[in-house]
Amino acid sequence: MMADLWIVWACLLPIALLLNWLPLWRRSNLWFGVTVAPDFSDTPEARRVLRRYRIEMWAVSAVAWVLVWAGFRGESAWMLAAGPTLQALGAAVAFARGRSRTRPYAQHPTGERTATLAESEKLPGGPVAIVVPYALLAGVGVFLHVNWQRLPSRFPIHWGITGTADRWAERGWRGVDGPLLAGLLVIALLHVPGAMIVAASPRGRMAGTAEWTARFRHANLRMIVAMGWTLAALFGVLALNPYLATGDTLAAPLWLMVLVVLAVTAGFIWPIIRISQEPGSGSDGTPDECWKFGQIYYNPNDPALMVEKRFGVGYTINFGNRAAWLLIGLLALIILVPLLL
Amino acid sequence: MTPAAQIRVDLNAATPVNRQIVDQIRTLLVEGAVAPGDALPSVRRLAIDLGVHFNTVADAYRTLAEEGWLEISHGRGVHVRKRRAPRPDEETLASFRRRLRQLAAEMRAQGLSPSVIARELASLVEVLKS
Repeated sequence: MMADLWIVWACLLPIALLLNWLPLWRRSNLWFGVTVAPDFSDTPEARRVLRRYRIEMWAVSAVAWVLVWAGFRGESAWMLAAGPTLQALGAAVAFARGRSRTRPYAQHPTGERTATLAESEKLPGGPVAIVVPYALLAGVGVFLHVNWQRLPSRFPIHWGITGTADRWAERGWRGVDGPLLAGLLVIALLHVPGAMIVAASPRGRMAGTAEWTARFRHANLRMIVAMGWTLAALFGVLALNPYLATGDTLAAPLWLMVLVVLAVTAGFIWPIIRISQEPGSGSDGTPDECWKFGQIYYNPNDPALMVEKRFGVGYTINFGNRAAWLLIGLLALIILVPLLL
Repeated sequence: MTPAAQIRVDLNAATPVNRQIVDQIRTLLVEGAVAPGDALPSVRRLAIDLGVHFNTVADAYRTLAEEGWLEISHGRGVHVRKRRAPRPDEETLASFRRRLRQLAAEMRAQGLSPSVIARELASLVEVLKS
C-alpha cells in the first residue's frame, strides 16, 4: 500500500516540475499565451507573472499530494482521482490567471502573413515508418494464432502499478487479440493528429518564422513516428506475454517497459523543448482573442485544423473548425467502440 | 523553384487579399523565382498557411489560371505553365504608362527622390531582362 502511494507521489512530482517550466517553452513573442514584444520575458513584469503562476501551481500540487495521501489512508477512490485532476486543473487556472496579468502588455497584432510556395512535407520516414507499427502488431497476431494451442487457457491481461496481475482472461479472441487491437487503436490515435499536423497546420505565418516552424514541426512529427514504433513494440510484448511468460508474471519487467517508453518520449521531446526555447521564433499568427483561457483555440475564420499550443509543446485542435469536430467524433468513436465491445 | 520563394500579404491592407496573392505570385513568375513545371501549394495548403478562407486563394489561383500562368487540375494540383506573352496593344501600353506615372508620383509624394526612383526602375529592368 505504501509502495503504491510512493509511486503516485513520484508521478505527481515530475508533473509539477514539468508544469513549473512549461510556460517557458514557447515562441519568443508569446508570454502566457499573449502576443508580446520579443524582449518582454526579460522584464520585471514578466518575471512577476511567472512567479505568481509558479506559487499558485505549487500550492495546488501540494493540495493534490495531500488528497492522494488521504485517498490512500481512507481508501477513497475519488480522492485518489481528485489529486491528479486538481493538479492539472489548478495549473490550467494558474496559467489563465497569468494570461490575464500579461494582457495589459499585449502587442497590437500585425495583419502581415507570409507563406512558402512549397507543397506539404510528409511524415518523417514516409509510408514505411507509418506501416511498420501496424505490420508488427499484425505479425504478432499471426504468430499467436499459429501457436494457439501453446497458449495457456487462462492468463493475466492487466497488472497493477507494482506489476502484480489483477485481471485475467480466457484463451479467446478478446484475451489474445485484445492487446493487439488496443495497440492498433492507440497508434491510430497518434497517427491521425500527425496526419492533421502535416496536412492542416500553418507552416510559419509570420515573416521570418518559416525555418523555425519547419524544425518545430519536424521534431513533433518525428516524435509521433517514434512513439508509434515504441508503442507497437510495447503492445507486441504484452500480447506475446501468455506465450512467453509463466504463471502471472510479465515476460519483460514492468519497470523496464515504462522506462523504455519514458526514455523514448524524453529523447524525442527534448529537441522540441530545445527548439521552443530558441530566440527569434516570433509569434504563431493566431489571434490572441481566439484563445480561450490561453489554451483552447476557437477560430471559425481560420482554415487550420491544428495549431501550435500556447501552453506546452505540441499541437492542439482549432475547435472553431467544423472539420475538426468531425475528426474529434472519429477519435471518440475509436476510443468508445472498443470500450462498448 | 527556389525553396525560399515566399509571398507576403497584409490582412489589414486596403487591397483585397486575393489581389495581393495574385500580384505577388505574378511577380515571382515574371522574375523567374517560380518556373514553368513547378508545383504550387494546393488551395487548401496556402489558405491554411496564410490563415485566410479557401475561396480567397481559389479566386487568386483562378485569376492566374485565366491569365495563362497556372494549370489547375483535380488530383494533380497546381502547376506553373509555360506561358507565351501576348502581343501588347496600344491600350495596354497606355495603361502601363498611366499606372507607372501614378506610382512614381505617389512615391515622390512620400519622399523618394527622382534618382532613387530611376535607380529602382533600372534595377527592375535588369531583373526583367535576365
